[in-house]
Amino acid sequence: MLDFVCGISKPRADALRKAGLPVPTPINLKGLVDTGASITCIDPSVLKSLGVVSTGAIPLHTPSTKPGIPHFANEFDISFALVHPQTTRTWFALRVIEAELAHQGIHALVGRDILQSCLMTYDGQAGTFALGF
Amino acid sequence: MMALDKELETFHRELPNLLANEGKFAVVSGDQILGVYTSYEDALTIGYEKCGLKPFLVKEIRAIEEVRFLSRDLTFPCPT
Repeated sequence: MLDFVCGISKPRADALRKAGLPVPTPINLKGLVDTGASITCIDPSVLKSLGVVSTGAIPLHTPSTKPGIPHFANEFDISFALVHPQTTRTWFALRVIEAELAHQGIHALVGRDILQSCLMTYDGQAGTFALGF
Repeated sequence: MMALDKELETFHRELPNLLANEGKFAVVSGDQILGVYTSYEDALTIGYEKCGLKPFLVKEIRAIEEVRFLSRDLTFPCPT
C-alpha cells in the first residue's frame, strides 16, 4: 500500500480560481501499487468529492474484455503527490481513469504511469517494498 | 454514449488532418479543434483557459490509438 495525496490538476485549479470558485482541498489516500496497471485508477467517490469532470476517454483491456474490443473508460485530470518528510514529488496534471475500488478497501491502483518515474525495490522475503522518487 | 461523445466524434473526423502532429495532444470543444499542443499539461492548460469549466476533450494524436492494460478485473462506472 502507498500513501499519496490526490487533488485537482493545476490547470483546473487555476480555472476555478479565475471563476471565483473554491478549490477543493486535496485528499490523503491509500493506493495499491499495481505493476499490472499501465494507468492509475481512482475510485469514483474520490473523483466526485473533488468535483472533477471527464476530459478524455481511453481504450482499455482487462482480463474480461474480448480481444480487439477494449472497454472505453472516462479519463480525468488530477494532481498526485507522493509525500515524504524529506521530499515531495508532485504530478500537477496526471491522466487517470475511474474504477470501483472502495469495496476492496483502497481508493486507487497506482500504475506504471507513476512507477516509471520512480525506483521500486520489492523484498519478497520480507514482504516489503521501497519506492524512491 | 461517452460523456464527451460530440468531442470524440469531432476528433475522429479530423484525425486524418491531425496526423502530421502525431504524438501531440489535441484540444476539442464541441465540433471544433481548439489547438494542438506538445504536452498533455499544455493542452489541458489551454483547454481550461479557453473553455473554463465547460466540457472539453484532450486527446493524444495517434494513427493507432494506444490501448491501456489492467491485469485485474475491475468494475467501471457507466461512461456517460
